[in-house]
Amino acid sequence: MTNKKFALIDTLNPGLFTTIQDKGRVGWQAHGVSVSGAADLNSMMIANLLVGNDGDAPIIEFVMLAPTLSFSRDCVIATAGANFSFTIDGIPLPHGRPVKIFAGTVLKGGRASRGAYGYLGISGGMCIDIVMGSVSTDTGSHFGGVAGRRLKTSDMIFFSEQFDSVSPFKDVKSRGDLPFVSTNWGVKDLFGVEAPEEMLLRFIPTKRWDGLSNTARERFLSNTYRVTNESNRMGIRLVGEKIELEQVELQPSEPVVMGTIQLPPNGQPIVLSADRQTIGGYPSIGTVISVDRANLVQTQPGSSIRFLEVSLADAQRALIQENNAMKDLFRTIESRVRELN
Amino acid sequence: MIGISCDNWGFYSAMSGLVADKIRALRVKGVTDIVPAFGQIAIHYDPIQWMSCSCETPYDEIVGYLGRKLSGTEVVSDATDRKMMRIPVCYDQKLGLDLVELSLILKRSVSDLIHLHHSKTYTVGAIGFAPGFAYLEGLDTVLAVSRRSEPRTRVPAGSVAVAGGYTGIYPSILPGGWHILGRTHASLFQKSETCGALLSVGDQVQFEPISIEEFNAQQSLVENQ
Repeated sequence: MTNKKFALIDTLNPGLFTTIQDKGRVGWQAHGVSVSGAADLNSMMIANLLVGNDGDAPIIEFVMLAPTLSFSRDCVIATAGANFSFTIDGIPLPHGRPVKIFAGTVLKGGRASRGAYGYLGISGGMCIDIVMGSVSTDTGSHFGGVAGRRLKTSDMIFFSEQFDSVSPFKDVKSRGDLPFVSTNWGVKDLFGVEAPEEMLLRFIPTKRWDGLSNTARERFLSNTYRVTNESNRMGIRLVGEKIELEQVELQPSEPVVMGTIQLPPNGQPIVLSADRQTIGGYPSIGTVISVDRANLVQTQPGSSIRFLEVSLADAQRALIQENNAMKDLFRTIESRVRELN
Repeated sequence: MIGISCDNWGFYSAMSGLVADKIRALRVKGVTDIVPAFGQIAIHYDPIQWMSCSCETPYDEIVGYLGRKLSGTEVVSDATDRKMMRIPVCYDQKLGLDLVELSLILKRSVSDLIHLHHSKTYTVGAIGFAPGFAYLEGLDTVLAVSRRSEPRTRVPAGSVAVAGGYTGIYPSILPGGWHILGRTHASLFQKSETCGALLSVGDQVQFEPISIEEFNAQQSLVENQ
């Protein structure tokens, strides 16, 4: 056993906002520490499983514009989430499939035509310091990931020697006609499955929702909201017909979650995302259900959102159903990947 | 997330920390975070671990379980079970960047403001905004000013400040709009598996004024560590 590490990845171009993530810094919210973690957790799991990693192993997440990376050794990679049209030597990289690449590969990232968050899984053990149980980059508090910030040009990402040869395609030693070797099967994108013009997000109302006027509630439900450019990993900011709050009472901050819908005094909702703080001062009128997390974060600025009220029971039924479907999918990926060894 | 509100439970804001500790001690399966804030307690949990046939939803299941476990639990708060933290603060005008401005706004002398600030005992109402940032309740109403009209982009770490009826300490360099009265060397947050935030909800806090000489002496101590 050796704890030696090597620089596998050199960042040639960091893209717009590229960070290392995992499932998040769980358990530290009482200390005021944000959860962070991959915005689209299912896509993170898929990209990791496709390369033979644990589902919540450290992963590279990018937003709107993907990075360009060079690789110093052979390894297996897979992209999931939004399709950022990666290329190697000008040849499109298959999306949602395990791909064996070779030392010297330059993986060039592009833009996503649909969706906002993409994930790059890389076989082996990424060496990132664990801070309070997670490698997730918290750019607000400057910890996790690479120096607590988004990647910049020339950042090296190190991997452990220990896991270097343990990966799918380990017997594939050289390329054929293409600059990479891939499978004839893959995983489809799971978010926005019907790719509607208008993303429908289900939410559970809070007590404060009941306190809104009928007009305010009807407006929220009938509004078609546009996702603005100010949206980021902290929150998805929306614009629609303004909701007038009859009385803006000062209230102490309260705990918030992924998907909390806040209504600031300007009457335009903000839906909290992965890098949200632990408590929030704006009135929260509802919570986008966990199952709709990917659809929420994957809406591009400029696209449209509508809200649909559901009960807590409906939300939890949907979650159990989704969890079963995901478990099946994850198991299938794992067994297909095992066959590649 | 399950929300527990003090309105229903009849606990005061300061008690929510103790109640949160009681719930934490139950080590409830699937519960990841227990977050008290201003008399409310959020319990973050994984519904998948609370699937059952006996209740309609995982929510009903875990709420029922907590109700049974906590029923009859008495939470008594007296001075002995509440941690008292004494934090040295230098109120020198070189560090209390807004003392003079605030004294003009409030028409009180700088020494009055300093005295009003350190003569109170505060209670941690919530931790949030940034790791280790504590909202302290119990501020003298004279000091209950709104935020600065122009927030600073970089408030120095350790700045002790007031706004919106609270006082608080910036654990690190952060953007912020609170009025700064002084500064401390106390380490409010450490990113390690064992430490985290210095203060917890329900803790009591007193500020002990120190001179600029003492502050500088502590500074060199911190640097030598």
